[in-house]
Amino acid sequence: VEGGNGPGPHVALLFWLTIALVVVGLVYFSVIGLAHQ
Amino acid sequence: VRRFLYDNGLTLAFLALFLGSLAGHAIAGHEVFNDEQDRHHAEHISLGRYLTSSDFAAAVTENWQSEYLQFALLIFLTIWLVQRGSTESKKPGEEGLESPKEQKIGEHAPPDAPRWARVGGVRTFLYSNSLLIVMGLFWVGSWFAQSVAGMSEFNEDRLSHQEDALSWIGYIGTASFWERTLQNWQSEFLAVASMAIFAVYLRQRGSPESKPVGESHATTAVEG
Repeated sequence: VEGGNGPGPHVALLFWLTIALVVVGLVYFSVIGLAHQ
Repeated sequence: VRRFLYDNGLTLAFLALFLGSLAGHAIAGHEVFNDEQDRHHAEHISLGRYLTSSDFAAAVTENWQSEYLQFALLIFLTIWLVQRGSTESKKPGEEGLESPKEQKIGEHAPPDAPRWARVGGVRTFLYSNSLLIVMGLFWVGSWFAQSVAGMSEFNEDRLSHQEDALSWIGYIGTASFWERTLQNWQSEFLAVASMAIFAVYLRQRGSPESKPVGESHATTAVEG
């Protein structure tokens, strides 16, 4: 992501958004599982 | 905006397919759930309630974990194992982690290298393995989510049959947990094995997943 000639801020934004999508999904589904115990 | 769509078309297309499929899964899963409720003379639940059910959570995450495992294993095993003639493989003889020069790290890093590739120490070690680390964490995280969601689904069924609920440790020892896990793993492993060997002899003109159409079957690690 860092570097002198990166692919651009929009590519980095999409990278972090995708990471966030998966992390939020994992937390959401884990919480659902734990909440129903 | 057009530039953004062009530059990120591959990721955006797959994210759109993901969201569309997830929505379809939710709608179809909700119908199936309510059909089951009818069969047990129980009340229907709303779509919103279904989206927060352990049934939906387990179904989604059991597929996620197998996909992240597939990619994590492919990333890891292709360091050491080759498939002669495949685009998915390194060239025979190049197995292993390779030298700092080949990997352009430390003093061999070019001026436009990511900073963590240049600085050395723990940061360069972490960055050198960051793809496997993230894919591995997502695999473990989604497998954990599958286990807790699957456990509550499993225990709801046991309680409705006047049986005791199982602990988490108890649940991950059940055939039910492993059936749900392995049925997803087997399909991923077959698909990767197919891709690795098919890429030796089969071509798709224009695809970077394939060699150029006229490339020799013997050539390894050349993308079209």
